[in-house]
Amino acid sequence: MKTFFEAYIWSLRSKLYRMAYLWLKSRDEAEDAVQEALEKAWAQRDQLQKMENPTGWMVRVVRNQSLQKLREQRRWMVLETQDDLPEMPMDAAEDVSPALKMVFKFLKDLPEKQQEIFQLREVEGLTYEEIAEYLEISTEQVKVNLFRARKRLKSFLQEKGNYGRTG
Amino acid sequence: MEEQVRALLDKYFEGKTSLEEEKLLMELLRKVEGFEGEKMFFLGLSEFKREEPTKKPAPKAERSLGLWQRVAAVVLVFLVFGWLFIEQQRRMEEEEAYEKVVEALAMIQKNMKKGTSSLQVMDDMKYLNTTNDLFNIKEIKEEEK
Repeated sequence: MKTFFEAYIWSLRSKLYRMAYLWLKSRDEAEDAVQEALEKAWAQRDQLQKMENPTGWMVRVVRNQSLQKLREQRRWMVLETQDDLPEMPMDAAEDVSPALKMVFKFLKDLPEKQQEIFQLREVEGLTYEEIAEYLEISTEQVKVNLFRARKRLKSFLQEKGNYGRTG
Repeated sequence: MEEQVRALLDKYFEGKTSLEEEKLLMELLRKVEGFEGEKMFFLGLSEFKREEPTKKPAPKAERSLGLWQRVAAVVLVFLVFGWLFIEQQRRMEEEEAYEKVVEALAMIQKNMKKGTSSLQVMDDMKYLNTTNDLFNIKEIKEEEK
C-alpha cells in the first residue's frame, strides 16, 4: 500500500518541477529546488498529512527554494556586473526548442501570479478550483488573472503578426 | 473548420472556454491550415508539458517500517530476549542442582568412610569363635586326661 507521501506528494513532482523550471529557466536548478522541497516534505510528512492544503504548502516550499536559488544567482551576477538586478535569462546550456522559447518569452513579461496561473491552466490542464488550491487564492482571482494573461497572449501574437493568419 | 477555430480562439482569449473546448481547440489547430503563431505557441506549451524531472529523490529511497511492523519487531526482540533469559535461568538451576547432588554424594562418601573406619574393630570379632583354631584345645584336653 502506498504511503501518503508516495501517493499524494510524489504525484505532484512533475508539476512542481515545471513550475520551478519556469521560474529558474534551468532544468538542473529546477530539479534541485524540487528535490530540496521533497526532502523538507519528507521530514515533515506526518504534519503534512494533517494539513488542510498540502498542495499549496508544497508549491510554497518549491517557490521559496526557487527564490533562494535566484537570489544566490543574482548575488553572483551583481558582483560581476555591479549593475541592477538583471532579468533571469534562459540558461545558454539549456536545449530549448523555438516553440518553447516563444512560450518563455511570452511568460517572462507577465506578472508572477499570471505566469503561474497561465502555466497551471495551459500546461497542467488544471481547473480553476485546482489552481486556486495550488496557489492558495480564490477562484475569482484565478479567473481574473487568467483572463488578463490570455488577453496579453492575444496582443503578443498580434505583435508577432501571427494572430489568426491563415495564409 | 476555420470559422470554428476562430470562434473558439475568441472565446479562449476571453477566458470563457472550458477545458474540453480548449482540448478541442488544440485538436482543430493541428488540422486547420494557417494560424501559424497559435500553432507554434500551443506546440511550445505541449513541449513544456513533456518536461519531466529525472533525478530520483532521496526520500523515496528511504523506507521506514510501518506501525505494525515496528510493533512486531519490538515484540520479537522481547520474545528472543525473554527466551534467552529463561534458558539461561534454566541452565543455572540445572548447574546448581548438579553441584548440590555432587556435594551430597561427596558428603555421603565421606560419612561412609568415617562409618566404616569405626567398624574396623568389629573385624577382630571374627577371631572370637576361633579359639579352637588358634589353640588345639581338644588335643590339650585329651592329653590332660
